[in-house]
Amino acid sequence: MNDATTVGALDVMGVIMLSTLFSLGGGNGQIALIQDYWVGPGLLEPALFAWAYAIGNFVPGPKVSFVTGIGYYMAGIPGAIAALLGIVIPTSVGASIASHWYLKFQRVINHMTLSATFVIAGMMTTAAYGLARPMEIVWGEYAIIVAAAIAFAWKGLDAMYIIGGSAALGALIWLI
Amino acid sequence: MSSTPEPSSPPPLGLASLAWIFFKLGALAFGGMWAAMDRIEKELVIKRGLITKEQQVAMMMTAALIPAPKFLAFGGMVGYSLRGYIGSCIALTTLILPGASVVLVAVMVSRLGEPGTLLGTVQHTVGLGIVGLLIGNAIRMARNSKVSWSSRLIGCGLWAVVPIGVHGFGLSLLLMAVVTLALGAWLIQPIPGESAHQGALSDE
Repeated sequence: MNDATTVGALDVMGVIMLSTLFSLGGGNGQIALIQDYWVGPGLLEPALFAWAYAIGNFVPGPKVSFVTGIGYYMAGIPGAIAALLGIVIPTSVGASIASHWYLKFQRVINHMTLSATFVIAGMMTTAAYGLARPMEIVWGEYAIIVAAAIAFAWKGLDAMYIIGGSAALGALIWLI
Repeated sequence: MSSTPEPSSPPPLGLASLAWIFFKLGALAFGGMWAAMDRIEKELVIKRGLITKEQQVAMMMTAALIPAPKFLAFGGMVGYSLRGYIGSCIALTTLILPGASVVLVAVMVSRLGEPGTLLGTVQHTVGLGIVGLLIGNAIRMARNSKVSWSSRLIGCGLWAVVPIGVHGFGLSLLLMAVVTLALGAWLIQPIPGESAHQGALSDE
């Protein structure tokens, strides 16, 4: 766990709640905001962030459950619970509003989605750069990044296989 | 989308049963909402008749368009349609609980590996894979958007502006997101006759 004294459970809940607003269209906006608030300023090790995200892709249910791990790294068990609440509260409000008033806002939502697609793409690129910067990547390792990007963007390979493949490659590199 | 899930008259389903149904879905469904579509249909439509197939599809499409994680939003919408706001909270809490518990246990028992050790090397390559995954996800989102060529150019410009503003000029990510979102809403137009749904639905 990192410096838990600087981030409390309420901070965790606040950031996760805010990040939920950038999940439009399955954009994983949480990643960008978590990176910006905690990884960038050095409150959370990039490797731990990536580790929690990786685990989240291997567990059943919604992939966003990785935020529980982030919450734990930031503020222990209370942080994990706060992260869970930070996802559950705005989502339940949003889901209820959508159930009730979706038709009324359908046009606005559709129009915002067009714009959000590119903005969230930008946020994810920002997160990718922020995550990669402190990793001390050597030239050959860029091939792994490029291969993962191609496999996901053009081949439609599931994230679980990409992360599993990266882990297997790491084990192979260690053995060699 | 022609129909949207309306809160129907509550069927005889207790909150405990609702919680159990979504706990089971959360524990057994892998790969996100779309990958779990068949399992969801089997559990909610065929086995229990809680919603119709049409309602399921409408809720899934709506869940993909609201600012919330899709699978969770879907669970919340089903819960709302069955038992109102409390049902929504219970459905999505129990849906995320199994996965969140496993993540929590996993991060508690694992640690940051030292460079050169097996764990350290694996964590490093997993980190590289995730950087690629984020870039790939960004590319896929932009590729799948149903907009005109001129709008796509503008969109790609906004896409580039966010990381440049944040990492190049030290601007706040939130500020950049809000400003580019507003600019995009003003400048980006769909292809006539196309819907924003298709782009959003193809991402997971």
